[in-house]
Amino acid sequence: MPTIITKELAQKIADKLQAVLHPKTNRPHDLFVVYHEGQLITQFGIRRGSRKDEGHDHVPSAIRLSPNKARLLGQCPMLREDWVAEMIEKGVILPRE
Amino acid sequence: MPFTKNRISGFVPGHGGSGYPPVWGFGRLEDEMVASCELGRDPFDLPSSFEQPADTLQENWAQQLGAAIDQLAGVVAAKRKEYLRLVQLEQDINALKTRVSQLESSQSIIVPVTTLDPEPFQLLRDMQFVVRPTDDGYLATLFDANIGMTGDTREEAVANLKVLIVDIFDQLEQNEDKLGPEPARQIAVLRSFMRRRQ
Repeated sequence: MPTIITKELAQKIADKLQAVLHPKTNRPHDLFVVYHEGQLITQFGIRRGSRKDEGHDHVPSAIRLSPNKARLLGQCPMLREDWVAEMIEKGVILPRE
Repeated sequence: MPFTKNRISGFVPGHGGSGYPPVWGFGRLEDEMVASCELGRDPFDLPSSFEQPADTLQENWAQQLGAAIDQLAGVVAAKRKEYLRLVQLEQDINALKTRVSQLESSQSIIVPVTTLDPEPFQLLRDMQFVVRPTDDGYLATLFDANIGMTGDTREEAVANLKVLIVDIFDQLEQNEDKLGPEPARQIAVLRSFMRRRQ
C-alpha cells in the first residue's frame, strides 16, 4: 500500500489548515490543532523523524478526508475554505448561526 | 565348474534363514581353502569344518534370488514413493509458512492496550488498537476515537499512538469549552477509556 501522505505533505496540510502547533518536549511527534472560528475542529500528530517521506497516513482520517483529497489539500488545488465547506457538510464543523 | 551341492561355487552367503553361514564365517573357510591348495586338493571342495545343513542349498536359489531382488526393488520403490511424498509435503509446508508469514505481515492486527504507563493516566478498560501495514511502516488507529498514528514498526506505531492519545486528551480537556462536534465526541469516548491519575 503506497504512502500517500508523507511527512512533507502532512506539514503542508497543517499549514494549509492554519493548524496551531502545540509543542511538547520528549514526544515523538508535534501536535497540530486545527481551529475554526474559535472552535477546536481536529488535531493530529506529525512525527519528528528526519525523513521527509516518512508515512503520515493517519492524517486523512484525522481531517476527515479521503487520502486523495488530503493529498490535494496539501498540494494546493483544494483550499482551506473547500475543506471547511466539506466539514460543514459532514457535520464536523457547525455552521454559523 | 559345474554346480554341485557340495561345492561352494555360486554360494550365496546366507542370511535370514537360508541356512548358510554368514559372510563373516569365510575367514576360517579361506584358511582351510589355502590349506587344501597346499595339500593338492580342490580348494572349492567344501572343507571339513563347513557344516552344511542337509538339503538346505536349494536348487531354485536363482529364482529365490530373483524374487528377493524383486521384493527389495518393491520395498525401495515404496520407500522412494514415501520419500517423494515427504519431500512434496515439506515443500507444501514451506510454501504455507511463507504464505502465512506474508499474510501476517500484510494484514491488520488488533493490539489490546492495557496501560498508558508512564503517562499519568490509568485505563478504565482496554483499548483496541488496529495496526495495519503501510508502504513504509505501520499505522495504529483507535477507531472509536478516530485517532491514528504511524510508526516504522508495529511497536513504534502503538507506542506513538499511546502518547498521541494522551496529548490529544490533554488538549481536549484544556479546550473543553470550545470543542467542535468531533472533538466533543472524542473526549467522551476517551473518558470512557481513561482518566487522569489522582
